[in-house]
Amino acid sequence: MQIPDYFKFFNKTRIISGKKALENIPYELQSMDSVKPLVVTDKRSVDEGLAKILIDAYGDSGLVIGAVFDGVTGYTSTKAVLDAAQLFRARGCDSIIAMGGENCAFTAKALNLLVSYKTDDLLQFDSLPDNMHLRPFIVIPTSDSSGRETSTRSVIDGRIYESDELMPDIAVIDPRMLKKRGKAETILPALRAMAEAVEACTEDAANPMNDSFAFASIQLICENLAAAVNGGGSVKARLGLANGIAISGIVWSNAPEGIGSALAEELAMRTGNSRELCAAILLPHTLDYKLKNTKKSVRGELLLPVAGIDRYCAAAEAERGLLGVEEIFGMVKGMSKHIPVTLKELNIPRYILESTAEAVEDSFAKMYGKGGALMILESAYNGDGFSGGKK
Amino acid sequence: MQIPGYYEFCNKVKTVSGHNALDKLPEMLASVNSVKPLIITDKGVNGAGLIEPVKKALGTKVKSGGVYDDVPADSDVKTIKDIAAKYRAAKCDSIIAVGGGSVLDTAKGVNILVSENSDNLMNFVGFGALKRRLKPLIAVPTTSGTGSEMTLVAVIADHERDVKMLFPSLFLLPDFAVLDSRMTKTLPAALTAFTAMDAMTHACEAYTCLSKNPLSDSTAVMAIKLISDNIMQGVKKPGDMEARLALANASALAGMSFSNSMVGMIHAIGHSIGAICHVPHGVCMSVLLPYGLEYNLHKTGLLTGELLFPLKGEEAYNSAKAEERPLLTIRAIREMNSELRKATGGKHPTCLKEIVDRDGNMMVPREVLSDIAHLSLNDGAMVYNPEDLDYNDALMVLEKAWEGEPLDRKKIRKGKQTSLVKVKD
Amino acid sequence: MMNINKYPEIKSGSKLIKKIYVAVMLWIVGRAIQAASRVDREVKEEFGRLSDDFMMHLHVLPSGPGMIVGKDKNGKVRYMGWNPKGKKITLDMKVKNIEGAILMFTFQESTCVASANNRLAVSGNVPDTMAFIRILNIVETYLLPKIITSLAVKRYPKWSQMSPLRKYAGRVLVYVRTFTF
Repeated sequence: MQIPDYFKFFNKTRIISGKKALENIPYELQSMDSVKPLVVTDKRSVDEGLAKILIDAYGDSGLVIGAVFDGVTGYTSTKAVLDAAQLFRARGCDSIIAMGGENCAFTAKALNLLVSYKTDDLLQFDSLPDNMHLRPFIVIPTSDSSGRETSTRSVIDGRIYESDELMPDIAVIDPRMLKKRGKAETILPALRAMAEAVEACTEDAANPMNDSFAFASIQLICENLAAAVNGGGSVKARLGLANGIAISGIVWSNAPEGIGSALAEELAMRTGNSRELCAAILLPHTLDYKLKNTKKSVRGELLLPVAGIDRYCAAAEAERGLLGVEEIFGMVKGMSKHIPVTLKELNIPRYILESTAEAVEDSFAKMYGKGGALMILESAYNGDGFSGGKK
Repeated sequence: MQIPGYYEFCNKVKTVSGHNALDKLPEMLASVNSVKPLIITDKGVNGAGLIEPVKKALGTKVKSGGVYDDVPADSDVKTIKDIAAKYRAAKCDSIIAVGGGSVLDTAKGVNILVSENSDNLMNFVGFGALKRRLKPLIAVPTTSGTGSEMTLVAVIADHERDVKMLFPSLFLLPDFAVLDSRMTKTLPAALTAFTAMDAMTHACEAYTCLSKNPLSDSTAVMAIKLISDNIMQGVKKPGDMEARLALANASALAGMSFSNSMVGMIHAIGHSIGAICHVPHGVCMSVLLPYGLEYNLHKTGLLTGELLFPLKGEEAYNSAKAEERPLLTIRAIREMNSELRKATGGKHPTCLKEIVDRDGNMMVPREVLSDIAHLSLNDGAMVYNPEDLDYNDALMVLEKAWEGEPLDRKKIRKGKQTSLVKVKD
Repeated sequence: MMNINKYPEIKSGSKLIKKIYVAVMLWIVGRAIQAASRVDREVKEEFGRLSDDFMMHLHVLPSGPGMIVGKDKNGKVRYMGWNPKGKKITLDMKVKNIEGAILMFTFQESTCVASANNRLAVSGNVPDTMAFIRILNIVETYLLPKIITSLAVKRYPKWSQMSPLRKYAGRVLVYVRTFTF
């Protein structure tokens, strides 16, 4: 275990997960002194009947839901935030429930800034004060969730707003809200969440608290991904996956950005592919690069959440990091029937690989050596196999 | 990792850890808009010079609202009212609690009074009584054991009415927990030993009791690993700051874990020994830990077996068969207690009859075991224990723990065996 | 400006059938506790140790149903209906919502599991709570067939350890006293 000489860790979000979890929402809001939430969601969640399930869960509570605002779209705009704020005020709401993927949560977080500070000017929050007192804010993850819901971040019109206080007060993970999805749609957010959790605990700044959360996240995803994808996918597997993804947002918020997620972000921006897809493809190749080209290599402890306690303990100490990476290689390759696993399949021209690498090179060259970023991209482009740590 | 049908997890405390973590105090206070904190501590902590680094960290940047160092070991509502008055008189706007479990519980009580502007704690007993954020509270633990910097409950006594009141509320979680290795550097060996075993017990019970969940599991395993790796070093080489920091982290992790998964019979019986015989909590925990694990084996054998890994390492886990591991885990804990006894010159007890006060008098005479057994059935922690205990069961456990003999597992009246690993009686 | 009427306010619905079911179960359990306090030695002893003003209110938030069991002036344990008005409650056990109560009273979650799942919010002193949970467990072994009770308690009492009187006569008596007036 590594304990740095100094670290900070914070998770504001309380997790309530499982059977009839939704029914707790009225009680929980009341114990935060609020009675009338605005639900922020998108059309898809409403069409899938999720809003109805939530409203039914409110049965017998004697409380009122201010409105179900389903104006969140695939792009998070200031307009939607302002609309929601107008509705929030008109109905006299006092709390916010975001239901759906990250865009719903991003919109809700920005909405919370506006209504808590009684303003319509989002730009004034360019830098956020530390000690914000925001309205009670609950997130209900669905099968569209990416993990960013539980994070410190909101993105509106391409601008990033970041603060510990933007983490939701509660994430309510209810199996009824986790509808079945297509295979690729199940795999990609899970792999990105895992990539971020893995990256957090392979960085130098790792600490035992964030490691604990990362290990839980990784293990939940590794154990449940196959079952959630195959044969229709059990509810239990989807619940495990949703938990793993929600926890990854907490881990991500507590770790410095790693080279893998920086590359995925840049690549997605430059090529129009989703961040999820880029992160999933890059995950094994980033690890393989670290394994063979960095002094510290990859921590052996990674194998513990990836392979479970029995196989972890059975492995020789020197082999553990290697086996962990190999396992993740196998996992991603095993998905090749359902998702692209090389950048070549995305037809990305070479010059974009180069410019992407260049964009992140400066921030990471010190840690990963010169040209590392490009090597990772090339390896992901070609779909190179697991190197076994050999150059 | 089992995903439970239902669970809740909350650890809303900003943790700041490091060899000089206290130096960040001014920043922490600024981030909660506080300019005048009241420092609450006890005579022991102040006498050991541990308030100095706090004052030094505050420096000239922050005006301190004074130091209240009169928290007695059995703090109660009266003390809390006194401190609240002092807080108001000095016009403070936050609290820094420096000390162990008692100081922190007191500080939580003070915080209720000054935030709600009340003089009567009774109004805030029980679930749901607090509905608003309280004043900022910064917890600086000076032992690595209780984990109360991470827990949401305050237990406060009212000596006049002779009751203990329970204040469970998420609003009682401190805003900050500061884990600074300097604060435990001067902790005597015996105290280091049993406080670390206290944290160990939190983690072991958290991993095996009814409210366990993925996050309480991973924090518990991490805590146990850190304690196993560092406890002997911390006891034998008090100045080893790395070991101190590791134990402080372990204690906080264990606190996070058990505050969410709750604890079982070991705590129920331990609380009762503490109440009747005034034995320090951590001492009871060290002695009882192996017995609790033993008693529940038919329900939690597999889980207990898994703990062999963080306790004894990968090798030991791998070379044992699944059905051997649970008993090896229990043996490892007994060995740890014996080793600590040696390392502390006989101060660390391995059974109840070895517990002595300063003058060497036995603190838990055999005659009181029956009273302890009765009292422990009424402890809330019993709810979360995997197996039931009635009076006879509790007494049997106590008698064996008194003598220092393992339980006769044939005699345990077992409900349905639910452990996937069967352990022979 | 957008048209806010597009997004109507939503009042919460009712769950009448579930409330009726829980109300009936609470009535039965309340009556059964009263009956068991006359018939069963252990229940009698548990109540004996509780204070003379013991009054327990088990109810569902926010608006019931609920039931009250407590000691009357003569120290006799009685089921006292559902209305807490005018009674001094010493142990207040709240189930956070009706679905939590359904889980408990369809025996999907035992009292202990429900506590572990944070479905209950209890105000009152801990020893009383513990005693009451033990009483509930004993009453369940009387009321329900073994196959259901063994799901609801950690350790089903070995019938062989009970006297035949308690085993059969006790059960019959509890039944009779529960359902007759």
